[in-house]
Amino acid sequence: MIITTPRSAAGSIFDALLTAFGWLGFLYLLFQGANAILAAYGASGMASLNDPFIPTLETLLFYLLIACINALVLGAWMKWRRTHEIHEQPRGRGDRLGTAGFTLSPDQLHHVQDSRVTIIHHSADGDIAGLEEVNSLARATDHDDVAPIARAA
Amino acid sequence: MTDRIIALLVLCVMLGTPLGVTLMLTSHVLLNFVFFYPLFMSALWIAGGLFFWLIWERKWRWRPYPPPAFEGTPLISVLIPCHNEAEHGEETIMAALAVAYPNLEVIVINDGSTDGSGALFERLATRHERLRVIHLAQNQGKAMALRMGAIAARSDYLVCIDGDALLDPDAVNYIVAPLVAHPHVGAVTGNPRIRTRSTLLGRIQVGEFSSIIGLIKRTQRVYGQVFTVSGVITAFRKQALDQVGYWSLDMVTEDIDITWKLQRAHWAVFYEPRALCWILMPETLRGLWKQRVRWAQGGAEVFLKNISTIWRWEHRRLWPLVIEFLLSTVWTFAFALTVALWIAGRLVALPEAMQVALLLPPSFTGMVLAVTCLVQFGVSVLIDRRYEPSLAHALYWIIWYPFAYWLINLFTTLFSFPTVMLRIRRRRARWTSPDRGIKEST
Repeated sequence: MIITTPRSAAGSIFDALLTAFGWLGFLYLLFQGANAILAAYGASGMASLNDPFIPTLETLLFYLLIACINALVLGAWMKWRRTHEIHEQPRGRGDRLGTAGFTLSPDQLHHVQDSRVTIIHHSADGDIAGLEEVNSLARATDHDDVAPIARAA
Repeated sequence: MTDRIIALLVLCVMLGTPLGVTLMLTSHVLLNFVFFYPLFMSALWIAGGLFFWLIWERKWRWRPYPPPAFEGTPLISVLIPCHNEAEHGEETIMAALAVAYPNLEVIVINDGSTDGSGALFERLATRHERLRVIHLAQNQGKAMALRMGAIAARSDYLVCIDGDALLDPDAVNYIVAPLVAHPHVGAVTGNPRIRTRSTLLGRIQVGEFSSIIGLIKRTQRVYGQVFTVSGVITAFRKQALDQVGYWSLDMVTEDIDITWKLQRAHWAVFYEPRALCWILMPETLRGLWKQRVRWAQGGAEVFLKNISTIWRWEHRRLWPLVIEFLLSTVWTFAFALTVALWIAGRLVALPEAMQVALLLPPSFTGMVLAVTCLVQFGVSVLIDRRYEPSLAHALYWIIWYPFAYWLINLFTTLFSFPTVMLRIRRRRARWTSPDRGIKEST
């Protein structure tokens, strides 16, 4: 099922190196972030208000707080929906199935639905201009040797 | 004319909002939005994915249990619109004919192909009783092909897949089950899994489809409305399609449009992660760019089409989707403005409030962003591994996926949004030849 087309060694090595570079960058960010936290707290164990990382942390916590609230709202909404929601019935549901907007008569519709192979012709504005049923499944691809069975519009 | 004025106003608002925020507040606020909006969305998607999994998905039966069966075994029609699919069409049709459901017809719609697809389909039809072929004499586009397939279908349950997608053997049972069980459901979208994993881009998309698209779909289902079904695999109730006028012919992405049309008419759209469909995706930058520009244009077109009427009270449940789309678009322009201010600051003296000193996130913020993205992928592996047990093997390759995802989003939106808003009038959407993975060099 999975397709892994063989590629040049250079391409594969490039992908592997680029990915390794991505991981190194990630680890760098991780350690730099951890260092910033440790440095901010310093030897006293307290963060100085002058440290640039404090406002960043505050903003981050603010956004995380909003994200958590949103997650809670989402969960509460789902809970409410499951227990209280009455499904609004789609408007205008009826039995006008089949030909709406297709300029087809019921007979033509049945022809299309009953045939194994059909050719549909359209006009320039997208309306159905004609239908042909192909009786022989073994025919060639050109459409000239088939008898038109119906012309719509 | 009114539409054009609205489109121009929307574009002005989108471009002007980040600039207005910077002028009224400071570039610091803009930077915070640029760095933390992805974090915020990530937290929401993780929460939504976990809710969906904890409350529903983990209790749903999966292999080795058999898929759901339906009383009376109603006929199901599988529609496969194709344009020049001589290379992949046979594999797709054979996979559709091989699904476990017994009462099935497969309708392949050959949309004016010129590569011999028509002859191939008819040859297959001579061998397989359940296969039917519709030829469109001239190329009409995917939406028209789907419409013609819907006309020809004898069933009220339509499973629509792309011409290069392979249905999993149980997919039809799983994807149609909600339509059979719930009369208010108009469409059910399935779980596309990527087959093409030869290049880094292909492998990154494995992470993207699980960690971002899969979690977004689950989150939106938890909320109750879906932004878009996956055009590559979705089941529709024909009655619902008939009511909303079927697929629009002038939308670049007919799947986004039909999702909104159905939900506006109060049909529910479900997500069924057990309905697996194996798909081919671009593996080159050029192919990926073309595909994502099309997706971004499609989103913008649907947004523009709905913007003036969506604010009616009866459509209130779609408002959060509109707001999310707006925020994502504003994020794009905010990011672009940040870069522009950073460059301008190096060339001329800017007021202090508009100066952008650092283009990359501060180390601590960067670390949090990176960790959050990995947590997101970890959650998606936890959820998706039962559908694809080897998913964790992709872990090594996904380190670039958050970066790639947001960057591609950035550039495609920057390109597509103004294009759509400034376009004079909509045109009929036609097929474009997608990149279906790389070929082996000889």
